Amino acid sequence: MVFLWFFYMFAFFAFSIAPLVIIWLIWRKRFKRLTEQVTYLAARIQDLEQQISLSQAAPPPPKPHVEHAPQPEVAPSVAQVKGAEAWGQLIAERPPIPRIEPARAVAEATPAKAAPPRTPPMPRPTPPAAKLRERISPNLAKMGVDAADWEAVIGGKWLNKIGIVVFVIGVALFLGYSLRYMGPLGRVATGVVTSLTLLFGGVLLERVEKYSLFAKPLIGGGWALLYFTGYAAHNIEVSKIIHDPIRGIALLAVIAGGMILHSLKYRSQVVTGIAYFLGFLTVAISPLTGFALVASAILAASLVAILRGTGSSALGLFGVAATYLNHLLWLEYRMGGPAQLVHTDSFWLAQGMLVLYWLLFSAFDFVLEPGNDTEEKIGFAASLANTVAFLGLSYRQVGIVFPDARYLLTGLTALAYVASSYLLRVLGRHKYHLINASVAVLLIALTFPLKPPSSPLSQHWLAIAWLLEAAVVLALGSYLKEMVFRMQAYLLSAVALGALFVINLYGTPEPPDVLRWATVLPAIAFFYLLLWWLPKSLGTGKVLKDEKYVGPMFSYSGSALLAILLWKELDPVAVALAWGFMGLILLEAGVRFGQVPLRIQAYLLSALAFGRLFLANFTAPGEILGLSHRVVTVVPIIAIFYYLVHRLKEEGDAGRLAEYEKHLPQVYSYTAAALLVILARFELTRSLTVLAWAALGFILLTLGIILRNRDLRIQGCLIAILTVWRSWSTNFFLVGSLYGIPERLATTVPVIALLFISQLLCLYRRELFPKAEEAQRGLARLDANAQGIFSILGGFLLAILLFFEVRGNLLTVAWTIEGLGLMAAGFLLRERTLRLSGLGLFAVCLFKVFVIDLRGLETIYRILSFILLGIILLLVSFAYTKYKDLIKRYI
Amino acid sequence: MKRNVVLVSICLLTATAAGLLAMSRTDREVSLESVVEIWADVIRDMDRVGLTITRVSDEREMEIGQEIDKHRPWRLKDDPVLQAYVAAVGQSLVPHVQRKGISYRFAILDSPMINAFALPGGGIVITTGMLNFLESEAELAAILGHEISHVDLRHCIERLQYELAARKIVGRELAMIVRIQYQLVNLGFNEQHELEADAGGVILAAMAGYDPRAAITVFERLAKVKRVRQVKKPRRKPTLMVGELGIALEKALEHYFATHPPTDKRVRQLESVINRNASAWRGQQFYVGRSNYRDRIPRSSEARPEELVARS
Repeated sequence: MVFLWFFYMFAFFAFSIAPLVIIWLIWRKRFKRLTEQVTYLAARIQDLEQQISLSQAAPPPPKPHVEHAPQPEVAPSVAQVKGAEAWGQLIAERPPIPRIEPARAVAEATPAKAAPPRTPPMPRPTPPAAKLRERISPNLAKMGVDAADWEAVIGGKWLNKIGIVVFVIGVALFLGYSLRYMGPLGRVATGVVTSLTLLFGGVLLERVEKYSLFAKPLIGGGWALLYFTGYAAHNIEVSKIIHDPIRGIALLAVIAGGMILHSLKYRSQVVTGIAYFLGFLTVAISPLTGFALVASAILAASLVAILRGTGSSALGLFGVAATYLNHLLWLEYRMGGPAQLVHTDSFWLAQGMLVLYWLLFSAFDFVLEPGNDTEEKIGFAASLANTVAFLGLSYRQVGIVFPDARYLLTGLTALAYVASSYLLRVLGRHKYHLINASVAVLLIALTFPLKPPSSPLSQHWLAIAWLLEAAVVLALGSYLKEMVFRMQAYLLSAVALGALFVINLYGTPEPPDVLRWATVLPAIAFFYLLLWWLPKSLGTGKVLKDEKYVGPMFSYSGSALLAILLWKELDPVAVALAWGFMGLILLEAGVRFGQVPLRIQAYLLSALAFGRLFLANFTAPGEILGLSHRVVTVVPIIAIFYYLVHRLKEEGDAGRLAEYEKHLPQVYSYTAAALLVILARFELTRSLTVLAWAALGFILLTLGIILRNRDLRIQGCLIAILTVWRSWSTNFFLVGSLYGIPERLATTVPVIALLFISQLLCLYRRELFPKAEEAQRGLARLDANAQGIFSILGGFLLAILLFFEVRGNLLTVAWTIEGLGLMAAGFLLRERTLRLSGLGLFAVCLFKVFVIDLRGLETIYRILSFILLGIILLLVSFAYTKYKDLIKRYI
Repeated sequence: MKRNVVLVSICLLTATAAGLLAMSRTDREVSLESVVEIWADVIRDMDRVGLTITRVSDEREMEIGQEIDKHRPWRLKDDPVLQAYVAAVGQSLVPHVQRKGISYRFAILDSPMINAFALPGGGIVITTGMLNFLESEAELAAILGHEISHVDLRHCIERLQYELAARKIVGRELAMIVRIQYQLVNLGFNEQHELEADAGGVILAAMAGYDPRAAITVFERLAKVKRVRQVKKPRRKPTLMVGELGIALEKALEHYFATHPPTDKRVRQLESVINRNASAWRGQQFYVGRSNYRDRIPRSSEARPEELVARS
């Protein structure tokens, strides 16, 4: 009981304050202007009274002709009456008001006499009211408040409204209060009489202009009380005189009809606002039964009819809030919560009422004609409030009684919005059409997650459902050239993308593989399709500033999804291969269809594939059909990289690559060569690696010469250097045998041979290689000096081999012979580097014989070393002397 | 047209690879082992220059070995028979080493741990735990050959070369820093040294007439013991790609700090060595020596025909 009274007080304050705030927001400027006008008129009247009293006291000085009487005569007296600065400022700023012509009255009063010349007016005594205003004006002026306005507003405008509200509530409470000496008929009669009194009194007073403002709340209050009386006649026990609910409803409908007609006649928001505010309030504070809901519905229906004529969106919003609030109060406090609906028929009544409310308020979208932006916005708010309130209350009811049917509720509501959206478009109500359509899209999207647990479709299909919806919305957006629909489609797609990650890829428990593929692959296809389709569909309609990036963004998402899917589903060793292949397809598609985003994705994927090889492939054990998993997975990726080299080079030559892409063929070429080197290292073990590397370097050099590809030649050089270094660090220390041949020899001799052959090859096709002075940058210098590099490497490695194989007594002899061989080859082939290598070796031998051999060797070997070295040096010197001119030409 | 042919060929190649992979599933976690190995390769190759420059002569290495001998902290087994047996087997391998200037000495450490190690200058130590674990003279030869190869291939002395060179320049204390740093860097190619020593040991043992497959047998038995003693870590399946990278990094660090390579890798390497040398050893009979080992009588004293096996 106490709670009920608290509720009544709360409802009273809520219902009394809210409409006042709304009305103030809308009418405050109008109030202000009206106030200024009234103030001016009051001041003007006073001034005239003073003039009359002065003219009666003393003969008036002659005045000029009235037509030429200057306006300023009025101003000084107004300033005197006001007195405070704020007042003067207010009037000075006021808009021009049509001048009342007081001078004619004066001229009519004294027609015979000539107008005397004008003199400054004499000081006049200040009347008492003005004195009071003068005293309080400064204080009010400090507060920036207009004293006369406030008083007029409170007294003339608000008190009557507050008064009627309080009065009507009082009467409504009376009708519900049980009195021993007054039966139901008496109470109803009291209500009717009171309401008719208010009505007719208001109508009569409204005809007098002075009381027009006072009368309108009376009319509104009268109608509200009449409506409530009609309601109480059936629904409140102590006032019940109508027992048939149909008659009760009919009575309410009649009264509501009267309210409509009267409101349309007056077109007064005050009247209508107060009537409906009080109507809803009185229903809310009465015992809430099913009939109360019907009463609210009838009020709402009548409101629709009124709004069609008046266009007041604020009333519409109020109506939505009040109707649904009544329903909520009935559900929670009258029924005791939605759980009470489970075993009764009240559920269908309750849900039916909600549907009725929704239908009625949906009509706002069809009938509202807002006059300005603010009205329009309030109208949208009313429409959305209708949706939210309907769904919120319906979920509350349905969620308890039929929890598995929420998806059905949402879906049916969505369909209703689709239908209304279509109708609104046909009727040309574009903005409401967009709102309804947007709500429909949202509700359709919400329908999917609300499906019952028993549904055969698992949550893994959620993303697909959303993407299908996005596709339809996007198609609509393109066809109708509506940017809003497209944005919704993008948003839906983004949400679907999130669902794919959270549910399909990383959800627990993990879905079966087939289901994961079946749900993710179509999504990926859709995202790629967006890249291709969006630019075509945007066309010439309105587009967002950055809408052109939407397609590429989704294609990146598609690629990321596919990469992750492959990572999750495949064996670790297969992932790199899959990514590499995916990169190939993307690049090919990007090049053929001119899609730069696809090309960039291809580069990223190929980089990932390259990195992945180090994680899972190079040290992967196991083999199949005699081939290691390493070879099976790395070789195709190398092939893909070489294809990318070729393809990008083609595109670069045709000028179809961006600036940052122009060096990519080189990058891929070197990467592929690096992969071959690393593959050989892991496939063949450390000691045999040098054989593979030497062969690889030779092949790359040969291909570089045949194809005139500088990068391949440089790679050949680099691999040769690597081979020599590895041989020196590893192979010369080997002690085993390889198929009967000592491992050291078996691995290093072929390397040395290949190095010298490479040098001969470079010599044979020396015209392909740039001149040394032409090569400016690092690696290009390698190409220019390839011949020399191979020569030096070969000579060096041979010397090391001799050191390990021959060491000791005959090493100097061996090196000397090698030096001689290098010199002879240098002369024969006209190759200076060989000759210089030979000379270098001779220098080393010289150092050795004098520093090491002289002390360490046995005598016979020492002698042999010195003699042989001496003879050879003499021979070489002779050769240089004899062929001096020829050598100069060679150099 | 040509481009399309190439493209189709690559697609077919990829499809074939995928098909082959589908036929054989691998159950292996990812790791950055390959990166660690490449890093070790690079360091090893680059190190060659420094090691060549700071090379220590055989004589100097012998001096260092004797110095270490004097200050050894461990206790040797007092069993002359066993000592003589081990020395006899070891000495049968020595004629086949590359560095003839090193004089090898064999000692038995009284410890239950299954271990053997080499010292600069030719000191080879084997524990009683290891001796109890082995089952044949060929296995003993493989283990001793492994440790001898460490010396022969300069693995032991190379760890000290930089420190010795630094001592001459900056003094003993700062030289220790050089040693520690070098050892940290070359942790990565501990594995390479071990694999080289495995290969060298097998070849030494085969050259001395012992069964080269004994090394594989002993490593596999060692691995079984290790598996029994170790608690196997459950395989972790990462949820995110970043998680996979984290696991790979963890494994790489474990690998980097491991003192020996995984047994399966050692066995594969040994199989490869045996295959490469197969033609040189074709028709040769090799000695196993189980009864010799049991009786602690070396082959050099009593060769037993029933202990000979032929390896194809």
